[in-house]
Amino acid sequence: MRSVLKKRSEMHLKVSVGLVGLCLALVGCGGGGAASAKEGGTDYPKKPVRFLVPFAAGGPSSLTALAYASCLEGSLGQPVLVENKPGGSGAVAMQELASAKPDGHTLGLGTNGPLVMNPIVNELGYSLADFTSVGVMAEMPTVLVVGADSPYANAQEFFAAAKATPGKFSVAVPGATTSAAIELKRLKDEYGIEVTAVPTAGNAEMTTNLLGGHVDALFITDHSDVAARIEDGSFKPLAISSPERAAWYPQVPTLAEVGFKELVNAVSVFGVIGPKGMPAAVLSKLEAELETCAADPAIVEQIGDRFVPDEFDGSEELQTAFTAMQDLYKPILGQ
Amino acid sequence: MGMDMTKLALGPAELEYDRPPAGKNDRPGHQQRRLVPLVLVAAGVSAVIGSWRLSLGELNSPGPGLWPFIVSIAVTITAAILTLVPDSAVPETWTRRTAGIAGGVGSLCVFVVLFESIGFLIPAFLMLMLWLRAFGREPWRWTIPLAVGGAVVLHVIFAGLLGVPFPDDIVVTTLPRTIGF
Amino acid sequence: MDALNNLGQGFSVAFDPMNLLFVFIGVVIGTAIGVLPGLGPTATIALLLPITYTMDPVGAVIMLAGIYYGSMYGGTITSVLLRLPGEAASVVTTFDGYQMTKQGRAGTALGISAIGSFIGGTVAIVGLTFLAPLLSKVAVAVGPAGYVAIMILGLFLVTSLGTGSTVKSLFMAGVGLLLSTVGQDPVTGTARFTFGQTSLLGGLDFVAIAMGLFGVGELLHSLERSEKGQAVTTKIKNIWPSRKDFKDSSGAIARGSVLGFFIGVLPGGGGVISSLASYAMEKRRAKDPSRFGKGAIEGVAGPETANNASSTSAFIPLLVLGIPSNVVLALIYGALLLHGITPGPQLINDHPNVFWGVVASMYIGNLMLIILNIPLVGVFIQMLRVRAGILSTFALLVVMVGVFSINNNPFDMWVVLVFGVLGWVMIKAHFDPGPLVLAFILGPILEKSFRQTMLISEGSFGIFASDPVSAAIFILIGLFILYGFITRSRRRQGTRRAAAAGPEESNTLVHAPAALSNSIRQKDKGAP
Repeated sequence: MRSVLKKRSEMHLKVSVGLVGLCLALVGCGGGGAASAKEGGTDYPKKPVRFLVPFAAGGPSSLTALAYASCLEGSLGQPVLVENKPGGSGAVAMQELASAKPDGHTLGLGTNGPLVMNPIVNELGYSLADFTSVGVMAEMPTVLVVGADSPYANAQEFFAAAKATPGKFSVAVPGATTSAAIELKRLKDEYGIEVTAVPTAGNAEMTTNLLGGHVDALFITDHSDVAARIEDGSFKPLAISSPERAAWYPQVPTLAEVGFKELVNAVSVFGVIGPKGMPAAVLSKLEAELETCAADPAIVEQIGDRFVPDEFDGSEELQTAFTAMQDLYKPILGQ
Repeated sequence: MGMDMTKLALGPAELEYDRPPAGKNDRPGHQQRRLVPLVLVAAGVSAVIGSWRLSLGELNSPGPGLWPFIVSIAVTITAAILTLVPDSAVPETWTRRTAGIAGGVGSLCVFVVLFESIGFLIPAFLMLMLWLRAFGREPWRWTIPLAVGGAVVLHVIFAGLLGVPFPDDIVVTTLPRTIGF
Repeated sequence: MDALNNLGQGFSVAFDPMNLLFVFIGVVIGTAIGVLPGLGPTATIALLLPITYTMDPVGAVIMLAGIYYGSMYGGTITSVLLRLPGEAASVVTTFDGYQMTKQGRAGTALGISAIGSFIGGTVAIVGLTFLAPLLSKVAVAVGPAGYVAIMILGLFLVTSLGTGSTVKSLFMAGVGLLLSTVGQDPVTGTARFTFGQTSLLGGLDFVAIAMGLFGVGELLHSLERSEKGQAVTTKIKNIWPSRKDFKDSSGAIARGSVLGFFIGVLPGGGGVISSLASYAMEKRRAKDPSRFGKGAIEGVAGPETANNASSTSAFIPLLVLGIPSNVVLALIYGALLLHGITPGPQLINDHPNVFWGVVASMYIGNLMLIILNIPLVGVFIQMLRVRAGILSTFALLVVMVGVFSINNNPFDMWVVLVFGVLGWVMIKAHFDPGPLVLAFILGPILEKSFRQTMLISEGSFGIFASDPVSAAIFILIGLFILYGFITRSRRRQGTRRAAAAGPEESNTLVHAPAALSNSIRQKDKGAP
């Protein structure tokens, strides 16, 4: 650092004042990274890596991204800058990622809604096929919760009441094109229980709505804020969406146990994705670094050990998971 | 008397050139006063049609077009009122200097196009040169140092200190090579 | 007195030399980014978030909070000097602040904003110290129906504060609402009015629109009018507010503090609504409302005070309930989560040093800001001594780069250009851009909340009466309208009596054509 500064001041002394001198000084402070421009996987990353998050800052997705970014930053040797682009249920970030140069300098957080469902619902400029999957960062189930003063003590009571009054129950979901919203639609189509899904902007808004009694229940992505509220009793968990009971809520039944065998898909997968056609060398380097980070106890603690899968799922597994999601939702959403 | 009337009808057009530059450019301009709201009504109507096409849905499950539909109807109604009841404020007319503004805006368009293709430094330098010289009437001995210095300082602030990712800069990328860095 | 004890404990945390340094860094960064157009606290805090992970949690939040309320001070400067509002809450400041600059009273405007901001901020911190747990209940009481009511109240204020006719203001607000629907539907994600443009999917950017309509439009207009591209008149009268200025604005500052504090507690849109409400209140209270929009000092002092008070009380829902009420606070929330602290009802008990340390640091930060800003006013005033051609050219270039830096997308530069031309045409046609820009901010929240409400109530409007918050606000709006009718009819009686005394401005304008034809006639007589 010191030598660079010294070199620059020497340059200032030697070169006479004028356009050339000023431009030189500039090269000295900003242009260093761009000087050696050789393509190839080994010298990746050559410049800071952008990491696009398709949701607003502060939510579970950006916290996960920030944790991994700080870890990847260390191993890749370049800053990893998390950018939140929350526009249009995440389509803006995905669109930008799909059209970015596939050189590994633009990555993003891929998850159910923006990556898989949005392109099915709308005619967008991208689809799942435009991306390369790198690996899984975290998986989060969705929990059905009611407020502390709700008359329903368990899932059976809640669903029985919901069945008796079709459409009367309002259940906040994280957005219209999220797996949570789709599961509620399947609840109506396949099991004849109709609740009104109210799309919101995320956990903070949903929490306000339940605490203020504006909705009857939340179908909310599980995260530390939800866990804290369940712990202090302001939220009562009724059921969880994962295929098996979660180790951290042993008393909460799965939706399948409550009688909805098919409703096991409202699990948010947070994966690292890049544009289609990333060089194999870049992909394997990223996948390896990601695996190291996923095993880093500091990262696991930051995100919550329950959300980081014990066994790392890499490029292939993530691709399979997203493709399976696409196959499941296409017939439901594509009407 | 008849002559007087023709003169009167020609009046405003002459006035435009006689008025001192710093004076108020206000004049009746009845045509223009009706024309502006009419254009606005047309814009409102096209927005109504546009939102209709987006599907309105129903009140208990509103479609994406319902809200813009309500808003664009409100816009159309208010624009229509403006057409029928022009308010007392008189729009300013176009003057010869308007062409200069068009030129200035045009130069900014060129700036954006160049910025996207060759980065910040050269377009910023050119933009500063043009604006300082043509609109600011600065002498060359001020224009050139300000343009060079301004472009470099802003580059250092935004690209260097704040880390704004400017498009690849032709000066920054080629200069080291040409002087054998 | 428990609060006082705890506050004392908080001060012992805040007076830790490292924490003092963090407050200072925070408010300095905040002021600096507030001055640069386009670069707001959101981008800066997002940039600094990874760094804060290595810091002590109290220090991190103290610094980030400092950036947030510091940027509220800085945002005023460009709004007053160049009519460039860098953030939503300072749009209202441009109305009278820029007019004051034109009259050579820029120093007065900036000085009174700094003092108002200090008082507003401090009142809100005192409120935060003693009323936080009580008021946090208010925050959750506002559901979708309540939001609809608040946004409609906001729109009502927007249309009533314009300088032109009400129909024009309504029209401009409508256009603002319509522009805010460009992009993807907030509920279903369907693309609206994007014309196949990918960059439009995310909607138009507020900063690009505001800078274009206000700053660039004004610049082009003054360029057309004078030989040199003149941003502002160079005459500077007195730099400091006089005793009369203080007397005129003391009421506005007092009312703004209280108003801002209470509105800031409501999640979402607090800053804009509070500055709007304060402006509307001052205009209504004034003996001569026509002074507003022409450099009334209360029109600067009130909204600036309210804006700072609300940005401080916005911490209440975050620190007491764990609900971030805007994007910046969501980032601070994220910073706390990164440190394993979940903001929520347990925060005060589990981490009293975080809660009280941050509250205490705000007292110190505000004091630092006023000490920092008073001399800065003198510095920024010197900017006006720069030749107008140079000042406006550089302002233009900084605006172009600034809007690029919001999304790192050249598309926003086109947006600022298009809206710059529109803003110029609007000045020529006497359309006020204020209602458009403010409605643009309120629109998306209104639409989303309205649709949520309709889903919850199954399409019934009864919910607006049964929801206590929305019912109360709609009653308030009704009272406003009633009050407006009464004062207007009284004023009409008053003007009828005073009709002979002096013509109003509208009369002079109507008379203008007659004056022109007179001058033509005289010229005819002079011609051979």
